[in-house]
Amino acid sequence: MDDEKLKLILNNYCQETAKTCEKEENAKPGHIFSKDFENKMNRLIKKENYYARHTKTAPFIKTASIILFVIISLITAGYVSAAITGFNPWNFIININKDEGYIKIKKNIRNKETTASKFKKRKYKLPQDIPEGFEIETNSSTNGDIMVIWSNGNAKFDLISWKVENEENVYKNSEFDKTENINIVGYAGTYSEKMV
Amino acid sequence: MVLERKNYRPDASRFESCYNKYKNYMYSIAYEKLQDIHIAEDAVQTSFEKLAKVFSKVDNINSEYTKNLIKIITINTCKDMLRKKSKSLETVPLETAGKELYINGDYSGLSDISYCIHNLPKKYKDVLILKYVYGFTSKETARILSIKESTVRSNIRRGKVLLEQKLKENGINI
Repeated sequence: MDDEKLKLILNNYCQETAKTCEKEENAKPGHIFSKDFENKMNRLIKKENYYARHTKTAPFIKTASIILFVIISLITAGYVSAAITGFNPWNFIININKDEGYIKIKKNIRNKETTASKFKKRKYKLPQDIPEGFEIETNSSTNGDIMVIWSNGNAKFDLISWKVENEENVYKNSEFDKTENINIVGYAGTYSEKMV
Repeated sequence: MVLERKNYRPDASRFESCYNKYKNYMYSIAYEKLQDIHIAEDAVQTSFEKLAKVFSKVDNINSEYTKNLIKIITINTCKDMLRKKSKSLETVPLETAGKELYINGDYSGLSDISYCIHNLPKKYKDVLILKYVYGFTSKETARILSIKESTVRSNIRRGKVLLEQKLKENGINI
């Protein structure tokens, strides 16, 4: 049987039986409902009236709040996991490698190279007793080696620091006239002067 | 006439009007089945909650279709409550609960086709009417009748087959 024919005969059936609904509606006198019932129904009607007025925003607000709750839960779970087990899944990045055709999980290793601004935050500290007029002209750090040059236009101060391996010769500029062993920011260093 | 689907309710008080119009009617159906004032009120409240979920599809609250829908919802809610509490209450037996209301009504003027539909088991008739007359989805029908969605689909299939058999037995070709 076609759905259309079925729809038609069912509609006819509903129309024919609708007359009995009228008789049943008038059969009983009005019942006095309890206060509990009236209160519950008032709450339901208010809720329906709210949704009727906010048919566009109410579903959007509901969906947005669910999504927000899920995101906050996932982030919280990551931090809780990190606090308990030391493993925070948000440190891992999932890379989809289209060329190789598989999903690759790669650990997000932070870049250890430091800039001049980050240099100040690390255990190394720039010398504070710099003569007036001298400003940082160059600063660079590569793989832990540091070079900072202060200049006032005529004279320069160099701060050079690198890790010296065993049996490696320490770099010395033979042109310097005066050298002195000093302590620079907690590390052994050499102070040299060159008269120009 | 088929109810048109609507995704909005421009009149915020339509549901309230529907409640005021049909609460006594629904109570009379519920009390006839459950024979207890408080449980009948619970049945009416549950029925209105089910109606609220599909109220956006109700076009005219004064039409016979709406009355019929409310009757279907109320009767099925009462059946559901009877199923859960039939041991503790002195109520009308489940098998005859549906038939009593229909016996009280005057169904003698039905056409042959409508009579075949009327004699279908209630579980098949209700799902067919909710799906094809009111245009509810299987999920919405399941919610109204408090049954599983898979049960709705299987009842629709079986209802169609049974209706075709009854029509053939009565010599009706569609």
